[in-house]
Amino acid sequence: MTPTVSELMHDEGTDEATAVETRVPADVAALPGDGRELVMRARGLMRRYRMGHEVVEVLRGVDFDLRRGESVAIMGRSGAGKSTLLHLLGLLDTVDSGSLEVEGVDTTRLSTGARSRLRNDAVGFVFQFYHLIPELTALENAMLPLRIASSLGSWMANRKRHREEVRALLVELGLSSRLFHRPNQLSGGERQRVALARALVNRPRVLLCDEPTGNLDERTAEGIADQLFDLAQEHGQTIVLVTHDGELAQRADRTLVMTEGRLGLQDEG
Amino acid sequence: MYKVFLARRYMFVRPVSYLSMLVIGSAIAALIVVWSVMDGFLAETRELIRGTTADIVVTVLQSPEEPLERASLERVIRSTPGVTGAVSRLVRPAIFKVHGRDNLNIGTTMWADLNMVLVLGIDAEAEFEVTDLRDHLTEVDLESQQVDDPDTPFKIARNRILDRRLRMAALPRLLMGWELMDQLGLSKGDAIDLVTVPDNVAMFESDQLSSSSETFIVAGAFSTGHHESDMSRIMLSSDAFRRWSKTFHEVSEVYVSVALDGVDELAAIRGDLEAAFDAAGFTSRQVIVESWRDRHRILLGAVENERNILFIVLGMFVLLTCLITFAVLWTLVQEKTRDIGILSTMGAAPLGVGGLFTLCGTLISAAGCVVGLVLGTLIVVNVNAIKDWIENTFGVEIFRRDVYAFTEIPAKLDHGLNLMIVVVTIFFSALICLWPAWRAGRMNPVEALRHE
Repeated sequence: MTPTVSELMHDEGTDEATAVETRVPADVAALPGDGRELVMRARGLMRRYRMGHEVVEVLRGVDFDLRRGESVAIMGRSGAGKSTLLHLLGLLDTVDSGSLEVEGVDTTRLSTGARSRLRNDAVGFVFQFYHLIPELTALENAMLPLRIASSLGSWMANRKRHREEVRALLVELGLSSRLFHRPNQLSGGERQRVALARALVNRPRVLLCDEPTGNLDERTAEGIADQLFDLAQEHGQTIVLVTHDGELAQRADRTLVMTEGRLGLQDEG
Repeated sequence: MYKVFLARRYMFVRPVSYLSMLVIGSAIAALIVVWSVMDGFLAETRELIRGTTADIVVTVLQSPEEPLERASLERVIRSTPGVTGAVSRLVRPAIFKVHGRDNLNIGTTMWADLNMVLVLGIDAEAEFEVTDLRDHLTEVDLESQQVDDPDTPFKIARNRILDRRLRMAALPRLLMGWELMDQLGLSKGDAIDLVTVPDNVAMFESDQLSSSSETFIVAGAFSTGHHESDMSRIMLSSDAFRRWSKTFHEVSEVYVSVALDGVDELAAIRGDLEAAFDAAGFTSRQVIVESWRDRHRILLGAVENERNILFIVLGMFVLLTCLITFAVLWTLVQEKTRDIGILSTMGAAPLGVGGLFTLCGTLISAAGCVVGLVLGTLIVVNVNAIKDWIENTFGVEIFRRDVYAFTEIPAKLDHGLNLMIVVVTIFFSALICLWPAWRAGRMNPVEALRHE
């Protein structure tokens, strides 16, 4: 039987915790497992940080499978390790031990450059605070991943096509009158839509969203969430959503809870 | 691809970038202007010297007991391969006064120089073949100073002699530097008295110095363009010179023209001439062979040295201004820490991020170089118009013709050197930008994203 979050919490610090730790991720990884292609596969992810003389174990052996087109919400208290996991899945950070495969490629063996290329190709990020480049317009911000992916030759050859694609995406997101506005001329919701467009523009297989609606009012947040899920579904993209918003999490196919460096299923009770 | 795009955006929206460009540009413009003017000065000085001297000058040292024959000297010179012509000159310092005028001011330090000249005894026809004398005669602007006939410069019609009492005296003629004539307010046909010390046998046998004086008619002026020559030289025909100076010399120095392919060849021919004199029995105590460069090496060396020192000092200044790029870039990396994290999330590699910031610094210095190049070139091309404008507007004299011996500020653009200045500046800027760029490249993207 799969342990619940409550059980995990209860077992913490006991002798049984280790046993749970090994059992739970295996179960987590097994869901939903409906035959869809595996996009990411994490096993035994460990991450420690040194804070002064103290070593803090942020992730304590996370096992995690992501399948094409599914959406997974990760919840948990602040400091539980959600963002760290997201950074590891997005190849921004490296694991201390364990393995992470992206589309069958063991990323722990990749060079920094290869990790960057894979990140550009396979992963898109959406952050709570948008993280747009202030000097660029909405259109330019959204086009940036394409520029990063292109060599001079390929950019010159595909520039017009890229521009039209990104423009169409922004129009689809309701930003047709904001294409040439800079971030400081946009509202929070508009900025987040630009960030969403930027995350989607490279057609990544996985969208990693860190509190994507955390800085927005309820109505705007709902609109952004709609667009996020609709577009991801439209393009068959996998979503990993770190959030404190229970309603948003409910829209995901499954919800996992991060507790003190361990990942478990949401407590149904 | 994103690096050029972002670097342009990062740099060209910040006023501090424009300030850096201006500082680098000004330093480069100053370097280009100073080098161009100094190089022009050097080139003009060389030209002036070349115009007043020959490729090679053979100075003849002799005593009354062992006078050297002009013909034998010229024979040795002409038989040396590479020599295309040789002309002998006699040289003697003299004091002069304007005939009939009380203007001999040799008792004052201020005016003494004005009454002292170097008198050259020349054969005009032979000079035409070797030196630029004909040009110097025809380049005189004032009609009242121009010779009647440049082919026979020492001739002047009797009726042109201004003092009627001297018209029938059959006085010898002379040519004066146009500036000296101008300074003294003389015209063609005026008379002057020349005094010198004869170097005949009597002079060597006696402890007493005697003087030799004669009155000459000014047949016209010459203009070499060299202030010193035009201000302090007088030319006589060699016959008139010998009569006036009572010298035992047939020749004081020989001006030699040679066929040249390069500077090295000039040195080679000078060496050949020395060897030829040696073979003909002339010792190094009797003849000194110098190229025009050897003769004026101190002046040319001083100008060249000054030019090079200024270049080094200003070059270092230009490189120092590149440190501004460093400061701007260091601040930019700090300011753009979160952007670095964002770029990483989009797949920018550390090397790419480093490249982006190196490019930012390089762009500033490249733009500064373009500003400097354009500004410097414009100033050099219009240097005299700028000089005139400053002098007219502010009433200050910034270029004294009597000091520098040029009518205008000489300036010569050296495109190769300017290109080198630009390349070195950009390279140096890129080099010092590597540190902040490296710092940006190795930034942890997760920490960068959390940067406040």
